[in-house]
Amino acid sequence: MEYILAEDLKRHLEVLKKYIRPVGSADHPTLVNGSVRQVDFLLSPDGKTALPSAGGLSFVTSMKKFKGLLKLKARHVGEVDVYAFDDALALPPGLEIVRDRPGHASLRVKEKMALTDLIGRLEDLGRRMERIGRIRLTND
Amino acid sequence: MKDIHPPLLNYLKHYAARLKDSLALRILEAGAIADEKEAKALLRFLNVMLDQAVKDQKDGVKVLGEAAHASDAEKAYLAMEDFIAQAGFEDALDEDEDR
Repeated sequence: MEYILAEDLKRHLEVLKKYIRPVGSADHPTLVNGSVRQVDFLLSPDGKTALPSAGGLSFVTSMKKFKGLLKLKARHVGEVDVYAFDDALALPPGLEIVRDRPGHASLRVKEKMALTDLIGRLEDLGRRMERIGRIRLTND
Repeated sequence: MKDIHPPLLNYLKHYAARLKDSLALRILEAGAIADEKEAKALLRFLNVMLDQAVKDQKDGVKVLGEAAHASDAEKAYLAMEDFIAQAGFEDALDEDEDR
């Protein structure tokens, strides 16, 4: 992946209005350890079904939030890979993206689905997201 | 704090209890920040929580039934920063030296 600078994201965020997700360079763009996280999605008590909720996979939508997240990541990873998509990308069925806080959007489950389906749909999205580049992080 | 995804709030409470941060736990239980002192206390907790989450990931610790991953703590941190700002204590964020 090509190395870029954090400032290179400005156009993607402010002009192209993309949803940006930086992840550790060893990490998957949409999954963690091949699955989803409880902090992102609401699951049924048996853990087999994903339920609609206000939670969702986090994306940043402003430079302020992007830089804030990079500062947190710089405390434990040396590089991040930056993935993105915009409103032109068809989302997998049953998912929606909502700009829910300043500089933040959540990819939400909007209809009940099997956890295995959600994982498959997030994998599909991860494959189709744009890889913008890799950023080296420092602690200063 | 009613807008915060309940599993994310549970995650924060888990770390507040585990780190024995009674003030942070009280704020999270109350769902409101009373003053700037509490806002700063919450920020201190978030910084300690992130460091602990990084350590937990490296040590392979399970948190609420899942293998720890620092990205959970980052998400919780950003959500709480927004909550602190929304509660009117944005100045405390600017003074957060650990950030």
